[in-house]
Amino acid sequence: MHDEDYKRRYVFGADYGTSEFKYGPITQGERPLAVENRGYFPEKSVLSQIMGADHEVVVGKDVTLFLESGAELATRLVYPMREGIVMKDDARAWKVVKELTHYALEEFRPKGWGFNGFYVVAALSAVAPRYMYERLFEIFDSMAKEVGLVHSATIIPQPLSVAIAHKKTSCVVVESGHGNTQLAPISRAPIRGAVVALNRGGSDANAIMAEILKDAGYGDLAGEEALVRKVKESLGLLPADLDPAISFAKSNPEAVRAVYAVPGTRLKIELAENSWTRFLVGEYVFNPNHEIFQSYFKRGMPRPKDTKLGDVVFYGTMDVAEAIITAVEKCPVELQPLLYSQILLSGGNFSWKVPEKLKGICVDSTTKVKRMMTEKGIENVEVNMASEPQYSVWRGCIVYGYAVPAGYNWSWEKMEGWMNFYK
Amino acid sequence: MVLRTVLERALTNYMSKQGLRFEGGSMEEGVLRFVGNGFAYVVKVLDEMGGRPELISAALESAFWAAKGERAYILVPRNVASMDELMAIRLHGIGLLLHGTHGLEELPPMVKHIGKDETQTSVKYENASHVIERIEKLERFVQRINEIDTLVSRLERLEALYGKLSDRLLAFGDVRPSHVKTAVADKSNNSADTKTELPSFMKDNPWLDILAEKGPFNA
Repeated sequence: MHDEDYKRRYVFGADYGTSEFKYGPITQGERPLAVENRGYFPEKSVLSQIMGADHEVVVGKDVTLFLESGAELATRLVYPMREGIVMKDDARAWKVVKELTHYALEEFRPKGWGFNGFYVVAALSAVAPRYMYERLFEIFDSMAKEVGLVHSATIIPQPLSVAIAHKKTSCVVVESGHGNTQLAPISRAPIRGAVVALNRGGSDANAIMAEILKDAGYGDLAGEEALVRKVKESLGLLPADLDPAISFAKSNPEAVRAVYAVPGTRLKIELAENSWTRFLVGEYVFNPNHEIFQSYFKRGMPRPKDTKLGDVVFYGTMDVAEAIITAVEKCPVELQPLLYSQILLSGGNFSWKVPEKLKGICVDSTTKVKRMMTEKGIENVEVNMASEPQYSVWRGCIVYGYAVPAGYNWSWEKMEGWMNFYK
Repeated sequence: MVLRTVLERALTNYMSKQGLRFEGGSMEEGVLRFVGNGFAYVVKVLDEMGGRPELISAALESAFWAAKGERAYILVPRNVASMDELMAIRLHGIGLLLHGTHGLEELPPMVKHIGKDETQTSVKYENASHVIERIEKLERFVQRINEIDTLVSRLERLEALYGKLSDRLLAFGDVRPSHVKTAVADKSNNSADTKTELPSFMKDNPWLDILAEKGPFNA
């Protein structure tokens, strides 16, 4: 079989997300498979060795079985990534990444003859340092040599993959995850020097929701992270403009009053006279610099700080519009208007509902960003929300692998092409 | 310490609640057999005296029974091994019944253990003639595989030849950088069925052209 035909048949996408690892070959269709990005290191014993179950690390669905054992989870359960990054010297984290990679590829190993390994397209965070690329290629090399599952591999940044999946050739991808937000300008390729990262994500919106719950008399529930997230998704609102929204809420308390009934319990959460605080949750994601948040910081809510992870600075309190402008202004001037006209928001952190009776007071994320950009003097802005954002990265990987010719070799200078492992 | 006879009584009661019938067993070896649901069940009973060495030999013995197509279980004191160690046995497709202060309890059965497919394909060595018959069948399969191997090597030689010819054509003819796009278009032109096979995110995707240009001739 000719290289190009072979490659198109065996393209395999692997999205290394912080919380979930999504994977599957081109034949998977519209959606990949997903497992939690974590591994369990079982206790070593003679018995395990004799029974042939002496894997150093267990990943995938089997992890759940081990969780039943109630063993010391804190030391045995390893989540390899933080903010999309695996630390260089974290040996156990890299073992999890390797085992997950093997697990995913093995699941789709074709039966019969003629298979010489997959063409793997892996997607990493836009802020992943070079050593992560090197270590991942080492893993693919071992997958080729030890188990014959990899023919060639390439690694692309996740925002590029999102842009590809949404058919946008020039755009700014704003990807907001649990712990951080990445802004990556793309113009037929990622503009690597222009990536901006924020040290803010869905977890920060949860933090302010917890404070609001405490103030409303639900202090006992504020520590339950999963519940707080549900309350945030149900009660949190994104105001078009915070001050007028608060004034409206205070003069029309019934209009903003809402109840969250915890499923399967008798518990009902109602913010009552504090219902105006529902607007703070959405606002905090987009702009934590409003003076109203100072009182929360003074009372102990952690203020998002500027941090450095590897070579990348994650800005703490920079607002979303400012971050977009900062990223775009790192690009050539003639490209900037085009980038402003194609802003693509991706991630659950941008999913804000607009209740019918609060139209005009509340907005969705695209309108909010557009308003914020206009306030900063940027016109002709077009903002879109990514559909099915959870699958975008994997889909982009499949398109990338399908299209990039098999004979195009990996270049460390350009950070693209195929690294060939099949001899 | 719970006496083995008490354990065996508790086990018999438990299994009968599961719809299984006691078939007999050896008190000396601590092995009890049950039947029901179309399967034979064999349970190795361990007491607290045996400890880990006895658990290891019970696990090996049970693995042997499982390989023969029987449903193997070990009845084990709750504190004889860690849950991770017990998991190692479960991963091997052996059921585990734990006994402790709260009586007798089954660890959730492994998928492998209760998988329908596996039980359907378990080999039952009923008699020697059946085994011989299967060996003969396997020999016929091996012969066919050899024939396929020969065909594969011929096909690989043809593929190599085809690859060389394609490379020469590319070198001499006009290089078409957007060959990937053409391949997609060709496919969709060939049949309506093929078009529907393309995922939505690939259809009319301008990146197919852009990425195809990254070929070795344009790098």
